[in-house]
Amino acid sequence: MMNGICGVALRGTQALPVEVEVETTGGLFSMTVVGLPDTAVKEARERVRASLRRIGLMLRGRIAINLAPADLPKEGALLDLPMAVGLANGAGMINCREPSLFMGELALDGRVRWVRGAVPAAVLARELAVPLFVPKENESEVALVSGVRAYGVETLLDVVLHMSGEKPLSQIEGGSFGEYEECIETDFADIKGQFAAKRALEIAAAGHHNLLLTGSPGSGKTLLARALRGILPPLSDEEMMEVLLVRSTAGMPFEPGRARPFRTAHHTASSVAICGGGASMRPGEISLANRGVLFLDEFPEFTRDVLESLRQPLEDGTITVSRAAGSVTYPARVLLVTACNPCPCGFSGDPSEPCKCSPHSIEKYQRKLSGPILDRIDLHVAVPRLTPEELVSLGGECGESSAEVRKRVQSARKTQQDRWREMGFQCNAELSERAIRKRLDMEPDVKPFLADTVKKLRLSGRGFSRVLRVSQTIADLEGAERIAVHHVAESLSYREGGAFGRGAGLGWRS
Amino acid sequence: MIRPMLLLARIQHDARALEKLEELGLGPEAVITDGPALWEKIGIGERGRSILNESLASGWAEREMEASERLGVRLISIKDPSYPKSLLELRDAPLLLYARGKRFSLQQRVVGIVGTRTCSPYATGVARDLGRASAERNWSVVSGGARGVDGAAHAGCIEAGGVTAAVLGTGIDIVYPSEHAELFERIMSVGALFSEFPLGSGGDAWHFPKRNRIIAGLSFRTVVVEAPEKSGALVTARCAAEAGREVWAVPGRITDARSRGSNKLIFDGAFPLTDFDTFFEGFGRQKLLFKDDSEEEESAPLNEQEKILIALLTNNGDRTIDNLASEAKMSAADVFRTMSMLTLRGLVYSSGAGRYRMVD
Repeated sequence: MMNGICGVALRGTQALPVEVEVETTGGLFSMTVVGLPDTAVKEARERVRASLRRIGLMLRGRIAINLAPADLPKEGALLDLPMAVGLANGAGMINCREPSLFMGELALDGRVRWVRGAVPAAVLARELAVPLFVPKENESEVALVSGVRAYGVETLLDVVLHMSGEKPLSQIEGGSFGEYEECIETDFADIKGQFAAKRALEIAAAGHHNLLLTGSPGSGKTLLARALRGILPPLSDEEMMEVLLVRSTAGMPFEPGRARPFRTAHHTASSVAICGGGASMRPGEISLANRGVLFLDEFPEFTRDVLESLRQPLEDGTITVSRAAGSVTYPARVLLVTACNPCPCGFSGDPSEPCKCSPHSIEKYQRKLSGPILDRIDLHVAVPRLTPEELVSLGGECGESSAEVRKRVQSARKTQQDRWREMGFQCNAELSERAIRKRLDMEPDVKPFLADTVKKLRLSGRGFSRVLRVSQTIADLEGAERIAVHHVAESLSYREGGAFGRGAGLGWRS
Repeated sequence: MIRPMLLLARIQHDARALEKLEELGLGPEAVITDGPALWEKIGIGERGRSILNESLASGWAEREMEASERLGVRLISIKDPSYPKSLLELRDAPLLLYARGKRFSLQQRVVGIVGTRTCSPYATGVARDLGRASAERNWSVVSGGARGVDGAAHAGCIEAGGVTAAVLGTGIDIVYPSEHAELFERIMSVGALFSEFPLGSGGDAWHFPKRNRIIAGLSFRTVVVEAPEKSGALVTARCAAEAGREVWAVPGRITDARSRGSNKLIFDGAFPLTDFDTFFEGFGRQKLLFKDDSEEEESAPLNEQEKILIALLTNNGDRTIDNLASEAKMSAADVFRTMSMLTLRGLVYSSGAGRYRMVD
């Protein structure tokens, strides 16, 4: 489908080939770029002209550059290099014998600068089986894409010398993703106490359950969320590739170590910042957190817009951003960790500090937390602020290290993958209502216990499903064959309003 | 008979209006038959008279009766045999009660539990325990259906299988506060909602102190669980004292503004509520008559872990999962599951974010 000199345009985390055609006719000097170029592409004229002058090519006549397909919007400076090579080829300075992909931004002196999207371009080059020329600075990330013939170039002159055979470039050697490196910033063993929250994090990590931490300011919610990263299983090669693609598309450097991404967003973030889009179509935080953790502190303070827009990606694992210029899809499979205060001032239910909120403002605050987004959160955990007496009596106990917990998480994940493979689920959090009703294996005494519990606690249908999903994960962590009563009992503590009694401490709502 | 009562109730006239009619040798119907000349004589002001004129002209009373029937609301006039006898002792007893829920008699053994809406976790705990304790001893609980102390008292009573009634400060068809929709449903399934305000009335600020006299009037004993210096609960206490009922107050910390009013009540002569047994002693024999210990025999014995945690909670009061885990040398998972089981058995409850407490 392609011949000659091509650049790339990015669409989501995918690169598409853009053919660069050049025609020169007689007349006064002029240079026109057609084919839906954005401002950065139009301005390429000056950069290209200056760079070509550096290698001794003076442009003359009327020059038309066509970027095909004509209806695909092209953006950014990554098309500088293919345009320059195309002009050099048209002027007979070089002879490009085989179709090739070029990407790079040119400096006025002919240097080739770093661009975003080199990894998608490498994947494209591999598919099309053509050579790829990328800026030297992008070499390291391109090396991680195996089976691609890629060259790193420092200046425009490098390309010219390579084409003419005077000084061939050496192919970029394939690298590897490396081994897992312990994430040492927040280890479980460094967090004093918080046994309850740590247990909840372990369950969240094992079953990929979204989590809501509720607690007064200063109770340690953020620290706990950060510690979650260290107990998640390492990224697999495929997952690494997904992460790499998104990061490259967003123009962020590659992070070695196989640790899962951890992204936080401030509550003032717009839905574009979270979901992606914008004038230049970049992935949002939820895609940057793909295969990792997205942490939203002060969850109820986010605009309704953002909360609503999180629903679909949490359901599908992808996010589709539609704009006038077309729609793109980014991966968005995240473990959502949210945190909130029990009330606007943060001290509702605190034994030592009185709450200053009016009942109306508390209700308004908690109402923001209701609705469909809450249906996607399986675990609700209260992180109480300890009184000085309680702090002292806890002593210095810290418990297990992240590595020990991670071992259990990994084996629980493995159990889930094996069990659900034929049904197409990766983890317990993805279980459909149908699978929950029909496919869960339970000890015989669980059914009557559940019937009794549903009645006593007035669990809703959805609340009931959430309890069962979490019970399955607890059973998997324990290595149990079937769900037993004590698994369900524990999971009841994590239901909405379980350990944090809303509505006058009644715990009535499921 | 209902029509004149509806009309008089609409303009907030109470039993005293009937007295005046009786002095003139007239029955309630005269309000409709004799017209404006009589109205002035029994002390209905200009505004009241114009509302009455409008109501009579537009057939408001008939519509109100139809609407009540449609909503399943019973209208109980002061002359009705099912009107609570204890209310008749109030000078300003309501002429008409709107009632929803079960039919049950509120004659004796009624405890009124009141307190501030913005109360401490301690107060919700006490209110809830008191609600439970009342139910267990076959007392009914009357309160105002509001947030905080009221809601917890109703809830505790329902949980223990008791009978409870809420006297609302809004029209009986209005759910206020809105988060109590479910609570109101449950109150109606075991007891009743009462209101003296016409259907659709919102929660005007003056409604609440006014309805407090009904809570006081219905109750044999009124308990103020927690009240700051200016609180509707103190209005209830005053009404109760004026009606010659016992007023009790739960002692609070003297440094806490939220219990300044209730503590002052004790200083002024209210009974301090120091334990439930003493509180219910007035009807001491009933304790023996109604004490039902069959349930305790039925339930399974506590296991080792449950015993340890219960002992810790008994000694310390409020406790977090973290503290329990560390003191009992148990894993958080074990504490979570044991707490769930104990909650289901009604032995402990969550008293705040991540905290647990023993019931009673």
